[in-house]
Amino acid sequence: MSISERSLLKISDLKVHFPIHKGVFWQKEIGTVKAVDGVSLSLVRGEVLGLVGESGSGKSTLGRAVIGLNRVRSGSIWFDGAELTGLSRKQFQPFRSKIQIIFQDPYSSLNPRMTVYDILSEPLRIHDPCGKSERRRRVAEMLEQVGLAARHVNRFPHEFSGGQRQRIAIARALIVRPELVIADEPVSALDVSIQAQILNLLQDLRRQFDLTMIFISHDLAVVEHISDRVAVMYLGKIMEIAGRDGLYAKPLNPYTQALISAVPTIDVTHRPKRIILNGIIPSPNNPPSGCRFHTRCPHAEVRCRTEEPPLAEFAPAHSSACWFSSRWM
Amino acid sequence: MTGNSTNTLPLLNVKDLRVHFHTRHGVVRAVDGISFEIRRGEVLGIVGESGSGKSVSCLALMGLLSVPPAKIESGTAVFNSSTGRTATNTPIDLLKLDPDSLRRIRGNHISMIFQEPMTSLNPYMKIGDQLSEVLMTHEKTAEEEARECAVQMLDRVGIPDPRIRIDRYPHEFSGGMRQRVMIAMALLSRPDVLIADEPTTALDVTIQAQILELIRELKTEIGMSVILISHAMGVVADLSDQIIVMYAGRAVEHGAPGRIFQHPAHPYTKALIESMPRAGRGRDKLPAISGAPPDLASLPGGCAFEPRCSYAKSVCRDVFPDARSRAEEPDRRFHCHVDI
Repeated sequence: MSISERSLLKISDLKVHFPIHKGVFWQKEIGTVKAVDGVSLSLVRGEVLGLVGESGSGKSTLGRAVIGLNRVRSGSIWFDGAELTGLSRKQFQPFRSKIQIIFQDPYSSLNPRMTVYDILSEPLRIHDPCGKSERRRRVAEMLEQVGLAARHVNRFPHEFSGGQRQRIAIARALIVRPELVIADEPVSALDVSIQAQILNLLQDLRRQFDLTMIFISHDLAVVEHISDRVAVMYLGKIMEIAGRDGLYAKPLNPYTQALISAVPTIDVTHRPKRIILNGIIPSPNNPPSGCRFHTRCPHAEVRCRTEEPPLAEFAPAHSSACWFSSRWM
Repeated sequence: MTGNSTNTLPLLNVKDLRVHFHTRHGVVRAVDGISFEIRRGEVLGIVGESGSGKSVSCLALMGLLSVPPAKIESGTAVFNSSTGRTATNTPIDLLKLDPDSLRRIRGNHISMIFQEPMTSLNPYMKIGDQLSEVLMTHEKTAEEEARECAVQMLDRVGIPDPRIRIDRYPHEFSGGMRQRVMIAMALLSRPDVLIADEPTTALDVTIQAQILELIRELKTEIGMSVILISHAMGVVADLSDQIIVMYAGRAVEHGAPGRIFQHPAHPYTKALIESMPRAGRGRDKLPAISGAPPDLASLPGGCAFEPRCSYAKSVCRDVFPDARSRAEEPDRRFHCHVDI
C-alpha cells in the first residue's frame, strides 16, 4: 500500500490496557481498563492530526503510547519504517529525539529548580552532544524562535507567566529537531488571549521545522483551527476520522454530531439545535457491548446493542464506526 | 437591563464594589468599581481572563474573603428578597452584614457553586449527609424529609441511581458527577440567587451542555437568578440576559449578549472575540492579543488595556475613561475613549 510507505507514523490495532489490582500487596488482578482498545491510524509527513474526545476516551493514553510512556498490550506502532513496539528502553533511545511531547500544564511540566538554560540544554546534552558554546548558541536561538528573549536563559520557571512557560516547554520539545510532536492539550491551561498566541506559534513552528503533529484536545474549535485531519475517540476507539472540513461540515457519526452541537457559541442569532446526550461516558473497564456509544446515542437501535460497527469508509478518506452513517451522507 | 420590568426592585443591586488586597508587594486592586443589577429570573454573565476580578467580586458578595489581606474599600450590595419565600422585607446590604446574619442568607437565599468540585466536598462525609445538612441547617427540615429532597435533587441533576449513590463518599464519584453533586447542593434550598463560578470548566462538553440546560430549566421553573462566571464566552453567551466583560478589576463593557458579541464597543471585547478559534473561520493566523494581562499591584494610571490595545491614543495612557453609551443603545455601557 502506498499510504504506508509515505506515512511517518503508522499505528495498527493498538491496545493499551491497564490492569486493576486488588487484595493484599495488590496481587490479584480484578479487571483491566481498556484505555485504548484497537486503534489504527497513520500520519503522513507534515500532517497535523487532531485527536478529540471526552476525558476517559483514551486520547492521551494513545499519545503517550507513541512516545513509549505507556506499555502496549498488543498491536504495533511504526515510525518511519521502524517498529517501536517491543523495543527495550535502550533500543528506544534513538527515537526519543525524533518524537517529542508537549504537556498540558506548563506549571508542572517544568522543573522549578532548573533555569531555562538547564531545561533547554538537557535534551541537547542527551541526544545531540555538542560543545558548550554551541549549546549556548542553540538554546539562545531556540528561545528566540519561540518568542522569548535570549537574555531569559538564567531565569527560573516561576519568573514566567503561563503562556511564557508553555513557550519554554515547546522550545524544550523542538530543540532536538524532532520529526513528530505529540501536543497533549497544549493550550487548555491558558487564558483565551494567550491561547491564540500559542496556537499561532505552533502554526509558525510547524512550517519552520516541517513538523508532523498529533494535537490532542477536548476543545473542538481549537482542533478545527490547527488540524488537517481529525480523529474522534470514544472509550478507547476511533468513532470517526476524516479531513477537517468534511468532519465539521458533515459529521457521519452521532457521537461527533453531539460533540459539535454541544460546543457553546457566541453567535446568539443562529444557534444550531443542541443534541443533549444522556448520562456520562461509561467506565472503560467495562465498556458497553456492541457499539460503545449505544447507551447514550439518540439513534441507537437493537442491532447497536449487540453488534459492534467497524470503522468503515463512507466517503473518500472519511470513516465512521456507526451502522447508520449513510443516513447522514 | 431587560427594560420592561423597571417598576420592580432589582433582586440584587451592586454599586461601585471595590475590593483591594493589601500585600507585601503593594495594594492589589482586584476589583475596582463594579456595578450591576439583577432582577428575578435573570442571568448575569461575567467574562474575563484569570485575575480580572470575576471570582473576587462574587466571593466579596458572599462574605467569603479573608479580611485581611482583602479589604472592601467601597460599595454596597443591596439584596432585596421581598419576593422570596422567607421574605425579609427590608432590603439588606450584604457588605455590611454581621457574619451570623450573612450565614443565614448564604446557602438559603444565595448559594454558590465553586470551580473545583474535587476540593469543595468534604471527603469524610457521605454525600447524602452533606446534602441534607443544607436543608436541616437552613430550613430546619426533619432528617427523613431532607434526605428525600436530596434524592430528588440528585435525580434532577442527572445522577443515576440516586438512592444508592446518596450513601457514597465523594471519592467514589467522577469529576463530572462531583460537580453535579455540588450543583445539587447549591440548588437544594431553591435559592433566590445562584452564583456559579466556572461551573462547567472542569467538565466535558457533553456534560457541560447537560448542566447548562439544567440551570436554564431551574431559572424558568423557580425564577432563580444566576450570576454566571466564566472565561468561556460561548458558555456565557448561551445563558445570559446581560453580560459584563472584566479586565484588570474593572467592567470594561456591560450590556446584552447579542449586541456585545456581534458589535463589541470595547477594543478588549473585540480583540478577545477575534482571537477565539471558531467554527468555519479557516486556517488564517489568529489575531492574537499581544502581551499579557497587567500586574494588578502596579496598574497603569489610565486604561489598563492601553499597552495591548491597537486603538490606543495618548489620552488612554493617562486618563481612565468614564462609562459612556451610544445614543442608540442607552443600555450598553463601556469604558473607552475611542469609537471603534
